[in-house]
Amino acid sequence: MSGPGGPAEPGTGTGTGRAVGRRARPWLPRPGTRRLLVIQSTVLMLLTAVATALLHDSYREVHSRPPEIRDRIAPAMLDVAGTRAALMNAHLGVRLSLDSEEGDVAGSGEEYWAQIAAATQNLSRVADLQLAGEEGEQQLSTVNAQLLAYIQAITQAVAHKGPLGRAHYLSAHTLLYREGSGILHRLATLQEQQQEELEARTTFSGFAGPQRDPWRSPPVAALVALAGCLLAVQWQLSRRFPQRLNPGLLVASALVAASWYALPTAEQTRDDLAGARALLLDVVSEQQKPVEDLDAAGRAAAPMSDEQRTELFDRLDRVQKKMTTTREEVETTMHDTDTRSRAVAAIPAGGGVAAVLILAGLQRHLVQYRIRQ
Amino acid sequence: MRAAAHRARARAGVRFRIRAVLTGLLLLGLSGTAACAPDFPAEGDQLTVIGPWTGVEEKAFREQVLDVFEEEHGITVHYEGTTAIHELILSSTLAGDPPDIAIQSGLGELADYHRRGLLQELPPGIVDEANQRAAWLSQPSGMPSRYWVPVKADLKSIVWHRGDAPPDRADVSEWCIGMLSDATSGWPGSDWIEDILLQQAGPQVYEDWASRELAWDDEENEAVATAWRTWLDFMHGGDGGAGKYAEEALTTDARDRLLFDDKAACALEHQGSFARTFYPDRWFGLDFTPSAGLLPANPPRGDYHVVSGDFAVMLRESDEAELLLEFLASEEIQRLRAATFEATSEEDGDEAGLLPPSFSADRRVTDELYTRNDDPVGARIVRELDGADALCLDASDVMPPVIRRVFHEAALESLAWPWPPPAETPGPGPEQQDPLPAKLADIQRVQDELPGDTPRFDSVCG
Repeated sequence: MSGPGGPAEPGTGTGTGRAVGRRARPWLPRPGTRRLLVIQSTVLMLLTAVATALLHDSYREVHSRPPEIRDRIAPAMLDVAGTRAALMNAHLGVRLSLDSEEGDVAGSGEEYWAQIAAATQNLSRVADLQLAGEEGEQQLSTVNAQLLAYIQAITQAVAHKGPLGRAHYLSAHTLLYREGSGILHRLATLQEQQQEELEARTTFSGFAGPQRDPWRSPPVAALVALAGCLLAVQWQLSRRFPQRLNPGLLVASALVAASWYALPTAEQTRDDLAGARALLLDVVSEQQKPVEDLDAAGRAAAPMSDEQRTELFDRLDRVQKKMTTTREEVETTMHDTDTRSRAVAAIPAGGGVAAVLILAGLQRHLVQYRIRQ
Repeated sequence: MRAAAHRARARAGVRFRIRAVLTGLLLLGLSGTAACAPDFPAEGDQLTVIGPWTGVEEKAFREQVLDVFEEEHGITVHYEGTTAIHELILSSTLAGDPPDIAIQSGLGELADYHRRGLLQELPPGIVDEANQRAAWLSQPSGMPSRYWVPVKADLKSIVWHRGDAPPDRADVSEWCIGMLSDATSGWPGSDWIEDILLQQAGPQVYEDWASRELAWDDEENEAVATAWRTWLDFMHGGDGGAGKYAEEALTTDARDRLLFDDKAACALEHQGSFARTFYPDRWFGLDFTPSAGLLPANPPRGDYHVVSGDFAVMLRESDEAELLLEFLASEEIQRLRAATFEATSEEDGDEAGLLPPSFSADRRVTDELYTRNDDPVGARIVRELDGADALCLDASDVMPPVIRRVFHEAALESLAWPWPPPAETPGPGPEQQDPLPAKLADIQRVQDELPGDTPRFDSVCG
């Protein structure tokens, strides 16, 4: 294995002129080459382990979030928003029906019942996906009870018409819109809890967090240190041993270089998560907007004008369309991260391979040195 | 593992029940409520309490009472306040997953829950009965044990007004009247009729009616019909005439701060002592006068007051729940609630700030406490409680739930009638007849069809 020059005389500090020159340099390790090889091997292994662990932790953390957002948080948020929109739509329909004096709303009013069905189905899914803990479950329970009371009041409103029907209609209206205790307000409280959960699941801190100075993030620092050490060892070995390059270290270095790919990829996923968060928050904010106008219009004694009715339905329609597109966009964006998330398993595998290559590369010299000793 | 299993069970339960809502309503109407029951956690040191208090009352209850309990006992309490409390209690208990404690004003409803076996018996001595005013200790006949404790009391048969000038008897145009209250709309109307009946006919007749001894449509003693008619005559009077004020009352929310509402432009409000919570920022400027001298009735026969209470029951047995019930009914907490309370948070806008105190069935919560707390109006309310010739529990509160609901409905409905009805003539259709006797007969028919074991409160006045 060794060339004609062979390694410098280990431990003695004497040997070829190259070795003499090395001794003359104070930064070169004092111990012998064998000890140097052991230290290099230990340091490289440690750095490889640390860099792999940090990179894996950060990458796994970032890529564990998209499925949560896609399968749990986004549907729950959109379902609560959907419940609110459906109830507002149903109530507006009832109001218009009562205005028009046609209204068999609670009997055969297909649109009304369809909206109520949509609301209850959404609530059912929200219960499945509950994000807001026990408090949220209680809110949902109360919403269900109030929804029952609401439907009863609407049924009475339609049955009686006239001033008595209006009394029942207004009872239903406050059950839905009352600040603090109405159904919509309770759902808004639930949405606030969901938004907190969304915020928590789409922002990162620690190793997984985006850093102001990426070079100072722990995974980047560890990778830089590992790459630097690999280069240094490669250079030292080329000075002490005849081979210009150690193939094991060379491939390990290539692996480290390849692992850089994980950094922008994780950043891309973080961006996607931030984008999904923005879309979801936008939907929540958008469907809050018409609440005040719908409340005022619903309470007003005068029948709604055609323009007012068209405008309110248009706004609700826009909200519902926005919910549909957001659901699709979030789902697609989060699906796109699936490919990237496969690298989660590749990182420890790559780290393992790099460790083996480093060990093998240095062992080659250690063995050679031992034979000569 | 147990917690996870509980959560999974709870979620599955919620999902099932929500899905059942629509089907239940479509097919079964109100009976569908049982199928969509909510669920409540009851693990470890946690309690779930549901009650009727929302807004300011909820805030005061949370911060003044529950926070103290949590701090003293290390038990977390989740409180939910809603006017749809009947639906909430019924659906959750029937589904077998009730809250630990429920607070409700309707004793008739609580008695009905007891009949269904939904309430847990309370240990003897949980409430110091010797110090409670008698009206709040009312129990259905034949109920040997205690199943609820009074946690709050209110004086009714009073009229609120701005400032301290006693008002004159006035026609309806001067009154702030709203019938709406979410899921319990109609109760202000039943309050009016009850109060008129009490003032016109006295406590004995009132008690007979509340305990179902006196029929709604009794032909010999027409006290109910007379009281109702008096109210309708009053409501359909005023300078607007033709039901203008009755119609306005039908579309006005009872909690809309009417005394300070420029649009309402009215000066008198027939409400209980709890009405101060309707005015979280202006309750200091309110005063009251007993209703007897202001109601559209005959001159008062005595110093009689309708009263109401909020009662706590245990739906899920546990030491922690018993502890909280004992805490709520204790003299210490009852006295604490007699103080004005500075809410700490301003997140609810005008609900923050100095909140009005509440009142107690416990005689040891004296008027001096209120005086000491710079609340002379509160002190007078306590003196009214102490000095009244008779205190009678709100009759609709002790009626079976179905009768209570029908009563509320009928109170609303009667405001929409053309009034006074045209004189009956043989030829014309039903619109030309007095609709009141038929309505009272309808209510009586529903009452007659109640199951034989429906609880009955023999004594509601004390």
